[in-house]
Amino acid sequence: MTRLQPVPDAPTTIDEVRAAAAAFGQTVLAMRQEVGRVLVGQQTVVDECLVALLADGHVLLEGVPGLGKTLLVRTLGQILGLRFSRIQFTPDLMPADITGTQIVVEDAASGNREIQFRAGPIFAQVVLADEINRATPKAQSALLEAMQERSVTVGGCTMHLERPFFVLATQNPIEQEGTYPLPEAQLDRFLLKVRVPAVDQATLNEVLVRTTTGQVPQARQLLDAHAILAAQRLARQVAMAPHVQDYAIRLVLGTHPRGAFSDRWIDRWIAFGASPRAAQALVSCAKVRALLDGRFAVSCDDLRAIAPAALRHRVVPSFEAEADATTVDSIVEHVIGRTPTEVMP
Amino acid sequence: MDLIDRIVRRCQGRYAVQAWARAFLWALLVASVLPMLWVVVAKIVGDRWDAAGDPQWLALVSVAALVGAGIAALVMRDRTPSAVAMASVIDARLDLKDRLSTALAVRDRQDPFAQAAVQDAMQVAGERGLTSLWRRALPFTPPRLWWGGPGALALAWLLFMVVPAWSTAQADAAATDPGSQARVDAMKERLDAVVKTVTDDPRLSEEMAAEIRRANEALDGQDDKSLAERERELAKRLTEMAQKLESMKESSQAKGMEQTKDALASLEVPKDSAVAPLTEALKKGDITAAKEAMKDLQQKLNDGSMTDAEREQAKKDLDALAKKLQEMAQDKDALRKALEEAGVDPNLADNPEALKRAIEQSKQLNEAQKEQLKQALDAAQQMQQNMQKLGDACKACKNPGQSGQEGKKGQKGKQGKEGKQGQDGQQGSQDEPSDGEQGESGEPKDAEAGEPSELLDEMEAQQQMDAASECAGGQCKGGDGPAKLARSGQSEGDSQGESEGAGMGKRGQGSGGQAPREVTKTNTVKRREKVEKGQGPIIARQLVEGPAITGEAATALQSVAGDVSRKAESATAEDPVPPHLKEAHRRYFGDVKKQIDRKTSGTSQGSGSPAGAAAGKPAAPASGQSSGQSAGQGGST
Repeated sequence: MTRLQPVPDAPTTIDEVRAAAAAFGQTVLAMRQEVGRVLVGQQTVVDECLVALLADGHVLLEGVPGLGKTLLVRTLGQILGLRFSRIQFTPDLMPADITGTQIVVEDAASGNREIQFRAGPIFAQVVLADEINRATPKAQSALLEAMQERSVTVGGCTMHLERPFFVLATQNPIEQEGTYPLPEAQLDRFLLKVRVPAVDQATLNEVLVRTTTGQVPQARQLLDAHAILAAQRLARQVAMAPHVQDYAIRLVLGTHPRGAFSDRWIDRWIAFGASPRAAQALVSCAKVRALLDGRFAVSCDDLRAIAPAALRHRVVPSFEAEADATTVDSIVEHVIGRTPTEVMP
Repeated sequence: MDLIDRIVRRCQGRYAVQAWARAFLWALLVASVLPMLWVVVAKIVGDRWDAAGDPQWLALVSVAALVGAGIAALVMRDRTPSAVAMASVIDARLDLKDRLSTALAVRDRQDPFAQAAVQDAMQVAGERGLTSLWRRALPFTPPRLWWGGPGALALAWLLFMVVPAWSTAQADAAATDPGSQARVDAMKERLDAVVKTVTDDPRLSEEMAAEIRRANEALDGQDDKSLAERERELAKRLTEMAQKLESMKESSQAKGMEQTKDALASLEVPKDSAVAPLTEALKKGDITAAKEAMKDLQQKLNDGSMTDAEREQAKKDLDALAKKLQEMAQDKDALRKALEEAGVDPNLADNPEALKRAIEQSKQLNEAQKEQLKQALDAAQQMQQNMQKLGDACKACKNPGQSGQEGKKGQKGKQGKEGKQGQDGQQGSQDEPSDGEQGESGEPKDAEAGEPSELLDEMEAQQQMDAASECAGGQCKGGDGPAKLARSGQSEGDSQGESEGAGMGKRGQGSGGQAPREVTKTNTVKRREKVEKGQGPIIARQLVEGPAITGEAATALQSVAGDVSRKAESATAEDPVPPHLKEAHRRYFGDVKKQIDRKTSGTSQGSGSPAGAAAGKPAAPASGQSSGQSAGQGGST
């Protein structure tokens, strides 16, 4: 196993910051390369997943079947060296199937019976919630506490999940029959919603070469939980100027209809704007991006780059937008486009 | 951080200048609304607002600029961007990922990432050479509508200079037109020339006394009026005089004279006869020349320069000429034909009073036709009188002794006033007994019967008045050649008549000979232009059955002229004609007869020979202007 050196998570001098940032960049670069050994293409998807991971957030992957969503999550689990579990969401899935359940166990020797808790698949560090929109809202809600609080409460007993805890959910956008769209509260708990695009000809060609000619390459473990946590701590320390933070706030408030930063299109197209979690997501992910770029402060460009993934699942389009066939992505682009980076008097 | 601070400060300065310039130009644009409004109001109010007449553009522009600068300063007072905002602009322009702005924002923080960010910014600033790049980040570009303010001011100036005032519209446009003064001067000159021409002819000046008075008023007292008003007034007077002259040309006397000329044109000039010059002058319709020729002939008959045979022959010729003229006087064929065409009994031509009553009572004639017939009747009567006079003059010339006796009879009355005046055997005509009777009573009614040439005085005066009228009419329409000719002719006549005679008569009052007429060079150039014939509106169609009539016209042009006019008039009155075309119809067909008459009579109105300056009777008076005044045989030469 090739392990990378842990990223220093508490630099005190400028040189240490530089060194930590360099190490952070090398770590992420190595992870990208390792994912690339297994998963062909989808570089943007991989980057956004890594950003969410390092920002300590969850990712909702949306794409048609066969684009490598599950492979990506499994590969990340292998690289990170974290415990991986997969939950296949189905309509008959019960919350207990996710969180676990208490069962009565009889000791054969003594004959005593006791209630034991059998942990569900949520008790892992990298959880793949496959086709999450196929389960009922009741089953989906089993993830709420785990994703937000990183804990599971069963039978009045709250159990903390081991950090880092990372949920990657997938959903199919084209099969609407028998699906249960995720409620807004559930969606808001995903740091980013990443769209997995269709592959192009070259990518598909490479996929065929790798998967049909020989042994499928396996990803190596590069990190462990300690290194990931250290990297997350380091990312949080990235500086952010007030005017950049103000830009992030204006971006989020720009999605609010009839707000201070909206216009008539926003008022028309958006039913509900992004929550404060969106601003948190923007800033957290922008910090990771800045550090990946070798910078020590967040720029507005970082916020703009991450804004679509951070806002698209938090903005609820109105009926008019759907009637106009206006997509959420175009609405978010509109918000980004009309929000100036600098505010001149 | 000094480097970043310096760059940001420079950018702030440049930004402030640019922003001020932008605000200034916008303010200038707003401020230029004032001059624009001023110009618009001035153009609407026009010269009734005195202030609009003298714009102080420099002051206006200066005030607008000052107002703009003041507004811009007020706008920019609290709008200087902060250092972070300025640095943010530089970051965005130079793609510095917010390094400069973040460095300025977090430089006071102590955390290592903030310090690293500051250091990173300084490093980038040094590496990228921002000391020179900042100019690229914030280039000095003119505002988008920088031309708005100056353009609005220029537009205001242009509007003021070019667009005429609305209130007085065309009148003011004419007044501000630099050519207007020239037009007024030209019209003034024309009116002045017309007035002079009219005034030079006593009868004409008497007829047009009111018009002359108004024209003189228009020429003199207009200093308080604008150019446009003066131009209008002058045009009005010119038109008034032209109309008056035109109406005079339409009078029965003028028409009668025209018909007389037309009739005289048919005279045949005898060869190797003493009356040939007289006949020639009559044929040409030159009464003045005829008068002189008559004097000349009379002198020859009296002074014994002719043999008895020649004298007898001349008397015979004169007698024949007189008879011919008498016959012409009785010739009423033209009137009969006109009556026949009008559907009136042609035999009524012999009875003028009955004819007048018949015309008045006729139901098949409209008012215009009645008027036309009346005029034709009057003209015919006038023509008869003229012919009669000419015939009498010829008889008087043939029998000078009789004429002298008549003259003696006629002079009795005059002698009481003027004393006996020398007369060399002039005798009155025996054919004029009434004249003698009148002469005995001391009031010779037809005193010209005493002297053959005097019989023609009134005709000559009428002819001269017609000439002057035509001349003045031409001047009213813009021509001046005939006027000069007429004036010169008149002045010539005046000089002849003003000299003191040797005899016992009064000072003669001569109106001079007929001015030589010739075609004067004008600026009119006749040329044929190529005209594109388009698809104009068809206003009437007429189907003509039968084959096209070819060949030479068998009807005299003159004889059909009246018919054409009459039929056209009745057709215009009866058939539906679009209102806007009625006037065109009336003018076109109304002018047909005039045009034909003018064409046919134009050849007979040629150059008149300088009248009677040649050998005349020594005691013959220069023909008096008024026949009544010249009863005494003044001995002027």
